[in-house]
This record gives sequence, structure tokens and C-alpha cells, in this order.
Amino acid sequence: MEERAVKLIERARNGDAAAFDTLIRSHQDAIYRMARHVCAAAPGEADDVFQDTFVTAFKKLKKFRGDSDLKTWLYRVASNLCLMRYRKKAARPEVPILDRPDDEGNLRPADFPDAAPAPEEAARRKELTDAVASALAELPVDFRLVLTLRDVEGLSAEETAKILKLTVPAVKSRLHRGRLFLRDRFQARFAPEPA
Amino acid sequence: MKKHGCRTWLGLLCDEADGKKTPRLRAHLPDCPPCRAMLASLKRTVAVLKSAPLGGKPTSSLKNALRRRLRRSSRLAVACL
Repeated sequence: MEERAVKLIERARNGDAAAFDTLIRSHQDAIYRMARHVCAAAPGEADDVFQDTFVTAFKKLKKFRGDSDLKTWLYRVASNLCLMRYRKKAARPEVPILDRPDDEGNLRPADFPDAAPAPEEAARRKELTDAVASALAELPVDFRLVLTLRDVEGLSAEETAKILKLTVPAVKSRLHRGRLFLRDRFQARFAPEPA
Repeated sequence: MKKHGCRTWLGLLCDEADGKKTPRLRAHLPDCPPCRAMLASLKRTVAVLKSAPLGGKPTSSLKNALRRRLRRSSRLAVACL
């Protein structure tokens, strides 16, 4: 961990509000982005997770041992808050174990628009955002967390496993299944109407 | 992608979609249009997920609400000492 971060954490532990404020500003965008993806269907819940993450971190900062960097620890706090929030809400949809085979037992390719639409295509961009939000919302929270940490936040499988207290193979399995689920949802949403 | 072996490639297809080099899969891809299509669709899925502006930034009112809560927590912590 950077020396500057260590000093800030130490000052924040000793009640220096300005130091804690600096730490918040360094990580608030990442934690908010994560919360918005995991709470895809309910922006209000993302706001709660965002606030609760930093309030919990503030209360538990003395327990932070510094054996991971602060951002990793904040991801863990936020992940635990998401898990507590959504595991109560059961109703887990069936996630394909790998993929549904077609008649020949093969995996099916999917067809949907490429990412990064041109800036003038605001409506199409909104459609993509809605598609991502609604597809994520259909997944169990465990899968949303893995997809968000790996594909949105860009963490490695090892870092994700550490944050979620999973094995690396379990992270990879959820990632693969989650991606296939999203791919099918995107395909269903964007498939051209039959002529 | 042969009829019997599609699923055996899935782990490597996901690794390849992550940008990892998977020599065994790369040797297989030229002969297997379904695997190539699957790889392309996985890459597009990840790209869509990354590019959708779902996150944004926390609003000023949200950041202010957080700071109000932290001030209250801070006062409580001091009061409990």
C-alpha cells in the first residue's frame, strides 16, 4: 500500500475527519459504480449500499489491518452489505449450468449489437444500459458480484476470490455462467424480429 | 467445434475472452466456426457490460447525505467514549 494511503488511514483511525474524507473521495466513484451494478434494478438501494459502505468502514477502520489495500477492503465491505441485503430476497432464477445446448448438443452463438455506440446514438445507448440493468437484476446477487468485480471493476479472479471469500474456480464458474446468462438475455432483447 | 466437444472449450473460451492466451483453443479455432462465434459473442457480452454507463458518479446530494451520516456517527462515537 502507498505510504500516503497508510498515513491517511492512520490519521482517519485517530479520528481525523478530513483524512477520512480524502479516503472517501479516492474511492467513492468505484464503490458507487459497483453498487449501481449489483443493485441494478434499484438505484435507491445502490445509494444505501454506497452510504452504508463508508459508514461501516468508518466504524470498523480500527479493525482494518492493512494486509490488503483499502479499496479491496471497501469492496469487501460493500459486497457483504449487498449479500446481506439480497440473500433475504430469495427468488433466485435458474442460471444455466453452462449453456443450453442446441439440438446438436453445441453451444449457441449469440447475436446482439456491438458495444460503444456512437455518441449521437443516445437512445441506443440507453437501450443498452437498460438491457444490462435488467439482465443483471435477473441474476442472483452472488453472480452480480462476480460479474461486477471482474468485468466492470477489472479485478483479477484471485482478487475477486479474496474479496468474496470464494475459491478461484468458484469465481470462474460464476463468471462463465453469468456471462452466458447475460449473453442470452442480450440476444433475446436485441434479436431481430422474424420477417 | 465438433458435436461432442463444445462444452469442453467453454472454460478456455471465457479465458480467451478475458484476454488470456490459450494456445490449445487458438489451434482449435480456425477449424471451428461455432467456437469462433461463441468467442465473439462472449467478448461482446463483456464489452456491453463494461460500456453501459450504469455506474455514473454519486450525486452531490448523495455525497452530502453520506457526510451528514458520518458526522452523526462521529459524534456518537465520541459520546460513547
